Amino acid sequence: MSRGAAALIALVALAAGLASEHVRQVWLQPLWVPVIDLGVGWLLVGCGLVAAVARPNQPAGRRLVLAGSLWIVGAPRQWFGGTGRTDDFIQLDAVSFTLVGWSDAVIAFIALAYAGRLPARRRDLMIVGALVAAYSFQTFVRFLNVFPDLFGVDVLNPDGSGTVLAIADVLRTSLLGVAGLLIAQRWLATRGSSRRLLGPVLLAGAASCLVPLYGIWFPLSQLGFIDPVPESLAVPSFWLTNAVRVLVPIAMLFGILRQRVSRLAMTDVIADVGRTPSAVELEAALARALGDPSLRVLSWDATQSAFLDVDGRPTPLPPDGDPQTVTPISGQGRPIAALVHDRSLAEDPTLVAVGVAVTRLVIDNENLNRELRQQLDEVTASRARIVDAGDAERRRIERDLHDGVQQRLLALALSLRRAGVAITDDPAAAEALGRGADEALGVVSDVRDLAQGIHPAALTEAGLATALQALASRSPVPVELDIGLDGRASPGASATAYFVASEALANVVKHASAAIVQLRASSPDGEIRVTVEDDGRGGADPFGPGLRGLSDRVSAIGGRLTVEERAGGGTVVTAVIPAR
Amino acid sequence: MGDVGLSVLVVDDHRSFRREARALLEGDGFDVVGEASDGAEALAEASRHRPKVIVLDIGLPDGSGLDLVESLRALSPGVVIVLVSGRRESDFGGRVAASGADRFLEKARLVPGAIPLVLADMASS
Repeated sequence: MSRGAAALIALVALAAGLASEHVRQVWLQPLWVPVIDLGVGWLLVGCGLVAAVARPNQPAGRRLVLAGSLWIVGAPRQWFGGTGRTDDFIQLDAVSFTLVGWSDAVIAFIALAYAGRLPARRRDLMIVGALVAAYSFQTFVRFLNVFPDLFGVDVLNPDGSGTVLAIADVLRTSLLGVAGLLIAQRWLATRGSSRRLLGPVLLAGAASCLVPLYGIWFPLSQLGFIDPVPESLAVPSFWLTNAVRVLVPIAMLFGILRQRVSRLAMTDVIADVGRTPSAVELEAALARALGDPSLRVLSWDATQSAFLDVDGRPTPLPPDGDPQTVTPISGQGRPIAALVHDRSLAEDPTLVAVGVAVTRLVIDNENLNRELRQQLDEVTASRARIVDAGDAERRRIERDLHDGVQQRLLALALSLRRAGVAITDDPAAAEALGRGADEALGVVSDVRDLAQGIHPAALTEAGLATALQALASRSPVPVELDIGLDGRASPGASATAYFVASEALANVVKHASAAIVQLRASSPDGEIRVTVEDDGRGGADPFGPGLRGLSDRVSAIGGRLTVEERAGGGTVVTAVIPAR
Repeated sequence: MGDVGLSVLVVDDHRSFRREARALLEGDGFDVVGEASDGAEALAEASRHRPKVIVLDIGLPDGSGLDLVESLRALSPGVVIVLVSGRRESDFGGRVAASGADRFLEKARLVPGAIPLVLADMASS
């Protein structure tokens, strides 16, 4: 129901109530009579309208408006019903009493059908049918009672004692009591959050059906079974009847208010989950906000084709008929997750929809994070593999150069040298052969230097410590060595550490104008730490191509490279590399 | 050339180098009693010929010559083992010294007279 329609109905109810009281001249009665009349009617209509607006998909609110409307139109005449007045209003009096009775029936129906469009069980439907039949019969009886000469003779009340009318009242009141018992039984059957959510309306419904049972006293006394009702009880019974009539609307209003509180609590869920977006947090926060400790957040695992709980365990969905129900969450035609919760939560689809939306966001976020982590792991592993493959290729090229070109050139040089020595009668030829041998050895040296740049032989033959010592020994700038390596680093890690030292030393030689360099290498906690510290002019550019390339290489295998200015001048390059 | 006639075993996986080394050593007056292209063959040849000098390449197909020194010396006590390599000695760190070989010679320095010089140096020290 829209707010506009509700406002219009409210205005009509206000006007109709006032008109009803006025037309029936009840202003002549003590003031509390019309006040209570209007209070009950307006409360029924008002709460019904609030419920109809708050839960437009549920009929309970509209039914309450109906009950209230019946009350407003009928209530004033009820006061005169049974007083024996025979004025012009007597016909309307009968109609009035009937309408009020129907109002009670509608309230009983609301309680029986609460949380559904119709009563859920067959026996509930049967009692509703019996109530309708009883109220219809009573309406008919009262109608005939008003017009006794309609059929030429007062067929129902030939003795004028109201026997049939009294029997109809007993029947109606008894059936209302049975409905109250069924509602009470339903309340007893609810547990946990169902009782929390449905309990107030069920209890109120049971009370509003059972309390009027005392009214059976009137027809029974009329039938002569018991003494007439003392006059002193008439007014208290009037109060009691009206008091229980407003219990159902108040309980519904209470439920709606609590629903609003739950919706507000959902903002806390969003805030909590926003801080730490995980399924574990989400489940706890939703259970708190929805007041359902049994609530479970399940995520769909396509590889296992199963729902997993927040701890990753496969979890079956509750079967049909279980107190818990499932709200599935899907996206792009595929299941994403499911909320397993108490059936009563379905009372508030908006609340569940918010829960679904938050769950979807969190699960989507978790899935994205997981995919991102997987991709990142793959990229990291791929980068490391690329570096390793590059190192392996460098080693292979160095070995090929050493075993192939270098050896053949050496053999050539030796051959030329030997030929030069052998020629004793032609000094010019001998000298030429000697120069050829020298030239060949020069090329051998060049090839060796080239191979050294590609991959240092010392690294392959003797490990990082020896390679660093060899590096230091070739440096034009004096190097102070401090090496404490445990020799357990992988070839890739050793090569990376070596190239860091090599590049940093080359930078010192080219740019730093340093007097001395300190080269330190150690193996703390499964890592290799290499530091090259010079006392030169400093100002190294960490984003220059050389250091940038080194940094990329170091980070590719999970390490980190830092370039800092040294206190007192100079540069400190440090690489920390997983020894793996 | 005071070592004329000393028996020598040349161990290297490159045939061209072996050929040149043999010619060079024979030119220096040595008696090249055998050649081997890998470690296993070196042990067999050493066992058969009991050479006085072994010119042993470090980079062999079935392992490092550095690891062969001890076994060869066990076969021929008193043998002079000269390690040769296309690499520098510094590339092997302390492994050359630790191997128990008598001398290390870069292949580029294997000129006529080099091995006799090594032997003379050893004799003088």
